[in-house]
Amino acid sequence: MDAIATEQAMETVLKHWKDSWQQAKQVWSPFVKLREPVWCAASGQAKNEGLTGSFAMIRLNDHRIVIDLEKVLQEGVSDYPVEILAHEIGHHIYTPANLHENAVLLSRIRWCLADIEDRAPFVANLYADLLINDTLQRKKNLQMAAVYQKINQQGTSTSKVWHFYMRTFEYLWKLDRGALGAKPKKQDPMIDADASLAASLIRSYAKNWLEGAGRFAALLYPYLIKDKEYEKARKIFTIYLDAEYAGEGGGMIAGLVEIDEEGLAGIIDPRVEAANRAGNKDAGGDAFGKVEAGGEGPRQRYLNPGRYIDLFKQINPKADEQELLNNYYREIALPHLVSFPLEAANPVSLSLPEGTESWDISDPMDEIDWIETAVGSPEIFPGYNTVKRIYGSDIDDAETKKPLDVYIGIDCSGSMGNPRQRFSWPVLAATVIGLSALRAGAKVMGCLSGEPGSFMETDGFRTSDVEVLTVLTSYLGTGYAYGVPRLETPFGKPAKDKSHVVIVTDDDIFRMLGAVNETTNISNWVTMEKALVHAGGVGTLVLHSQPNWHREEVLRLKKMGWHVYYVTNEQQLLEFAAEFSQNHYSVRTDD
Amino acid sequence: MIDIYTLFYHLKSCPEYFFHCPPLNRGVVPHTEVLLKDMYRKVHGDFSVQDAALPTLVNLWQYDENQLISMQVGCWLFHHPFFAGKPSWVTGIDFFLNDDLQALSPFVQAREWVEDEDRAEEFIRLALRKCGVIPAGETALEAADRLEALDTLKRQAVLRGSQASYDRIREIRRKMAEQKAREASNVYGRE
Amino acid sequence: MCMAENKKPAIGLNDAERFPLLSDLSFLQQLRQDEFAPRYNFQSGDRLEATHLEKVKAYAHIITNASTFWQAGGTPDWLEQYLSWCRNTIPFYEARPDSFAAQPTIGRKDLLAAPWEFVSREAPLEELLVYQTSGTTGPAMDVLFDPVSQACWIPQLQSILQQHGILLDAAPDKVAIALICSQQETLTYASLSTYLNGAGVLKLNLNPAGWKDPNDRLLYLEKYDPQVLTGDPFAFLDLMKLEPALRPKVLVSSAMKLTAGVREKLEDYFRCPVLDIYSMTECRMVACAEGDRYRAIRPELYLEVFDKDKDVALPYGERGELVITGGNNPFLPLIRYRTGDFCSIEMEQGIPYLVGLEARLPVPFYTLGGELVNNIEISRAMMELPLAGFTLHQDKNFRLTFTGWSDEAIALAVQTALQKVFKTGIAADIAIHPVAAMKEMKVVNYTSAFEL
Repeated sequence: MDAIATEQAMETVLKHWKDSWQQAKQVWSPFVKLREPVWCAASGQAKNEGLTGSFAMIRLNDHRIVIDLEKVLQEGVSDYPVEILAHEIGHHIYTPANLHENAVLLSRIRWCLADIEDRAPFVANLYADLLINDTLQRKKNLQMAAVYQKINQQGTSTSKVWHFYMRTFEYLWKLDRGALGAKPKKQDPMIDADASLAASLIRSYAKNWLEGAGRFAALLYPYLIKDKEYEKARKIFTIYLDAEYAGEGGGMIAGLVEIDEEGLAGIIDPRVEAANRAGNKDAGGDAFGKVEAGGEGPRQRYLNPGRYIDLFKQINPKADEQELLNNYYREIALPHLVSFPLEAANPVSLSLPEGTESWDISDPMDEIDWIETAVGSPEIFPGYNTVKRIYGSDIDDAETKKPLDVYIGIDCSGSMGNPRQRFSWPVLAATVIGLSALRAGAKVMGCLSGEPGSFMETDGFRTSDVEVLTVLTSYLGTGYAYGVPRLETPFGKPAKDKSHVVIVTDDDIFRMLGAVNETTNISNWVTMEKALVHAGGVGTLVLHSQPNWHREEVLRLKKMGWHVYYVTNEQQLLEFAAEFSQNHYSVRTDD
Repeated sequence: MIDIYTLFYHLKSCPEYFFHCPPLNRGVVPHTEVLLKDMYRKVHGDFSVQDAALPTLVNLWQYDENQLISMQVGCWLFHHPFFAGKPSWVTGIDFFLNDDLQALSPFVQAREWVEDEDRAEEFIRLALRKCGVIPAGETALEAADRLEALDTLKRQAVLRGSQASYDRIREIRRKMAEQKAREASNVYGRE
Repeated sequence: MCMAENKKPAIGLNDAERFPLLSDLSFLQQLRQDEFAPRYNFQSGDRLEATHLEKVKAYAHIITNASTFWQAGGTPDWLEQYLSWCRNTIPFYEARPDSFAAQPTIGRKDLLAAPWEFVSREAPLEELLVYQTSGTTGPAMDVLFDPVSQACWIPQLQSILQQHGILLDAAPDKVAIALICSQQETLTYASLSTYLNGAGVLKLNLNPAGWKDPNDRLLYLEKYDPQVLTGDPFAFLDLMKLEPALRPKVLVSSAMKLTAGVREKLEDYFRCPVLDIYSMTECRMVACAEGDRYRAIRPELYLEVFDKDKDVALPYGERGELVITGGNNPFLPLIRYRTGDFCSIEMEQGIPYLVGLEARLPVPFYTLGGELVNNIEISRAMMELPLAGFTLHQDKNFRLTFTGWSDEAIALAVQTALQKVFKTGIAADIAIHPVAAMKEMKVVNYTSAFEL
């Protein structure tokens, strides 16, 4: 085709497809609200939209569909605008429909793809396509089969996944073997058996499709386990993959840290199910690809942080790892935080006039200070130049009522695990205290220290949970204990605002206390004592140790005013944190 | 000639009556037997035909409930006018209801023959084959292939095979992971 | 800070489980607790049960008594039966044609992709053991085996020694074999051989860091004076530098080719034969050097030579890639496995000889201080990085040229790793290419301007 003819063909196609948009929406419902697709006349343009490989794609975060018309022409499917557009709309309103369900879908599929979790988006896309196309072909009477036939004319493959997939449609739509263009050289009874199970799965879970996701993944697992087979499958499916990155650019999605019990219950291999139904009890139980990863953290109810980050990166490749890690510990800490101060209980009388501020129409009429208002202007316009008097408390309660800030120092030395790779109790405890304090309106300074070696701390006392969490969830793995000289930074001088001090460490702290700061020549014991005085709040040393060890040193600390809280296992750290938060940051209406 | 879909819709409309299965009682003619004889007479085309001219009923007591209901569903299928007055098919039908359904009964619940699309199609195709009928619009080869694709017995055999091999692979991989974590990963003699 | 939570689970065996057939383990305790003993970092046993031991003995009988393996122009008589056994019990070979001539070759990548597919359905999984290769010649790979095929390395060694008129003294209070390493880090242990009636087997690292006192290395070795020393040429050279007063019956060099110069040096010093063995993790010892060729030692291995690129078997005398069929490992039976090593085959009275075998020439690298660097060290360091493969060359000015294939930005990590192995100050040019650009299958390649 010469250039002019190509251009004309493109224009015709564009018009045809634009005209079909309304009809495609009608297929699902007259109430579908979706913006018109981004039409790309050239594949280069489509690429800029993030579309490569296929002729269409969807984005859940901005509810868009992108169509590459150049590729539509190439693949010979320009006569099927309604089919293809309705398919893309199906991703938006049926499956995966939104960012949250997309996330749950991927998370469930991952549980059934042991060691090949990276293939979850591929499996999710195939699953969603099956559900949508079966609905469109059988319930909406669109010619989805014809679209497959057209595309498959462009080339075939020896991929078993592809044969299995096309065979599944043949089962669903009662078509002859090979009707969609996938004609294997040798008939494989296993593909027939699996496709038959897949077809019945698609029919059974058309409504509750999230519940069938694990089963579908389990069915596909043996086909994808070998790299070579997976690569082969990707090659032939490239043209169909329109929703693998549907979640890209979406924000944080809550609720994925906790292990999805319903999802776990769906890790079932339909093959096993079928065999068991026939009373064949020795057919084994577990799905072949079941991930054997236990829960971590409180009551072992949470994903491993590494797995959580992997999952989220798969949902949204652009997600920021640090943000994810912060969110991981934040979500686990949430049930242990003090409740939000719903009402600011302040029974003290406000009797000291402190000045005036403008009175608004919505304020009670009797609050208007007429004298002050008149002083300001002889003409009174309520709501414009009216003022009211404001009062302050007549007792200086800054010390008694305002929650104290908190300094949290965490030992992050050699043998402490990386909180990014394994759930960390010390980090959770610190998160509970830190977030509770922030909720109560206090400021927080966090410090990780593994010394001698390195440390990391917030820039003073902060009010931002992101800043605090980012420090607390980091990892050093150096030295042997929390570095006592770190206390010099906030408490070298008497603190302006009083502060609690919490240090989480173990026995090795006594070795550290026995040392002398090389530059200042000051004993760490002295620093420790001075810090507490300067902080002015409660000092607590959370010690992973036994009460009968280091008795003398502990006595010395207690004399300085330090509280020593012993923990013998890591879970007790959480108990301490919840208790501490409750004591210092919970809103009590009775005082 | 008849096409699959016609029978499909007929089967789907199977009345609830055919799913009843009162317990077999001595001295009472079983529900299944009543339905069978009625259906055979219809197929025979002669309602006055003697019991002796119908297929000898095997002892229904040997069958479990699922098998009996499956047979009754079969009775409903063969009630379709297409089968009426075709005495030569009686032997095939007898074979289908007894032998075929007995083999299938452990794997398929009677209701699935009506409610599950693939099982309904399998049921019809198998029944037609026993009568020597090729569905309209299909060649003998096509019909055979369609039936094979739906064959429950064959699928079960394949699944047993693949399941065994997946179980084995999973076991090997579990062992490998365990071994790697263990000291045995380095018995002596390795450089 | 040390909290119980983060420690990995250690499921250990005890000595009785490691040596089910040995009732007296006092020699083992002696070897471990000796005042000069190294700080062993590992415990190891052969885990041989009575039925296993019988099989090892039966294997020893076959391997020492086979006078002809197969006749030129023919194939071994076990081959057809072996093939049909593979086709019947091993998933990977299930769909294979039934004639041996029609079998395609397989390679490392097949083993890498799905090692479980090579496990015979008859192999009892409770006997499965795993060895992860360090990846000297490719990416790390899991090799599966069982206690019997594992223990058979001693009969294999014995059959070679027998050819040279050397007899192992299988006495329960003697050290029969010591594996000598000279690496920054490796597993070390003292163990016993059930097959050798409880004689000692040691794995030692010459790196002084693993000993209470550097001098203990000599004192310990000299005290137990192992009958056989095995190791790679680098380790032997390091051992020689310590000038130990040892009287080994034989030195057995493996893992890489032994050059004539090194052999002479070692023979002069230790005053015993130095044997050069061609072996590989996938099927252990294959052949032993005799003059300028290698004599095959395993009657249950069928050796062929194939075209490098095409699946065409080459006639005797023609040079190509060595391809192996057979073995006694039920977890990894091989059919036409490409070894990645090149040679031609000559048959002589029913025994195959490998001619011009070009296998893993030792490539010497040096630190700026003139210290020899074993390339195992480099492989080990690179194993930590996400590399699909790499090549490393050192020129006369000690400058390193590193080319790696990885989809991650790891140049800096490579630099750090090289500085660690070569100590500080070495100059290195590093190029990282995407994995897709990697063409050759043999993915680790060392070259050096120096000679050993």
